[in-house]
Amino acid sequence: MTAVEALGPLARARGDAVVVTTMSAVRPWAELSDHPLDFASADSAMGHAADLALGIALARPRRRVFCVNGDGSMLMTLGTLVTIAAAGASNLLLVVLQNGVYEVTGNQPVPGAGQVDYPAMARAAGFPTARSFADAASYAEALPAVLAAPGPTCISLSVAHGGEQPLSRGAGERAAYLRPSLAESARALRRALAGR
Amino acid sequence: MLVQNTGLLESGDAIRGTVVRMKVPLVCLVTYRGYAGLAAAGSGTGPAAQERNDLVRSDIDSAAILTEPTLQAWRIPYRLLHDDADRTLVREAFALADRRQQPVAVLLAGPTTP
Repeated sequence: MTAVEALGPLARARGDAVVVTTMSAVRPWAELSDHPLDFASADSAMGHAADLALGIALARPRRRVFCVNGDGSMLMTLGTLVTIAAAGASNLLLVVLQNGVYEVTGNQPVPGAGQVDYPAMARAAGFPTARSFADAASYAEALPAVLAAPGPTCISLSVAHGGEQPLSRGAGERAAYLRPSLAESARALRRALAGR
Repeated sequence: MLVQNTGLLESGDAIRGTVVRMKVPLVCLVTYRGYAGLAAAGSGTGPAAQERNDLVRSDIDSAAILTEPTLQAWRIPYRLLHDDADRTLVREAFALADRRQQPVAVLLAGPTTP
């Protein structure tokens, strides 16, 4: 499945959810969405997008939060699976894009690529709903039911890697949500969540 | 944030990348493991301890040697709270964090009342 095939159904289903992206998903997501509740975990803490999303989910329990993570990032902070489940963040959807590489640093292989079963880890950590998809059509068809199931929810999508370049922030970025600084983006997200 | 100094050292990239870059006025209350034993062992947190390579001495907690130099390297202001009489430092830390929109640490170096 391509990145667009992975992200497209999420963009159509997000409604008023907060969407936190990181690494190779950041720019492709901006091709599909330009929403005040989009937040790029970029120029930030490596591997901690899911922790950030968890914080937002706990602070805004009535709002759904999507985190579009990568397998490399997920592997850095596997303990977060337990933290999410233990916190009972039922409004959190954790998406793991399994492309098998650290794409933005040059496609170095992720340890265990093709072998690690992230949904199984999520279930073992206490996620009530965890699914894997390798086929774009079956994923798109199943997503509404997956989103309706009890959360927190983890889905793993097997995607082909591309050639995304390292992330940066600034006026020259084509992704609109990468143009402000991290502090400005955080303030904008807080304003959007407060309805201001 | 309540954390031991070892946990603070572990959280370095998250503090650098998220707390500082997002300008979060975070007050870190840090329990200063090993501090009490430094002076007794003839060590400290300054350059002399580094030059003697006290980090490898088994009778010294290396977390204590590195806590303050690490905060200095991260440019995080900090104060040492030695006992209950110093508790106003906590309020001052919150004020400083708010004013500067950045993290500030208070190192709990001595016995305090919970």
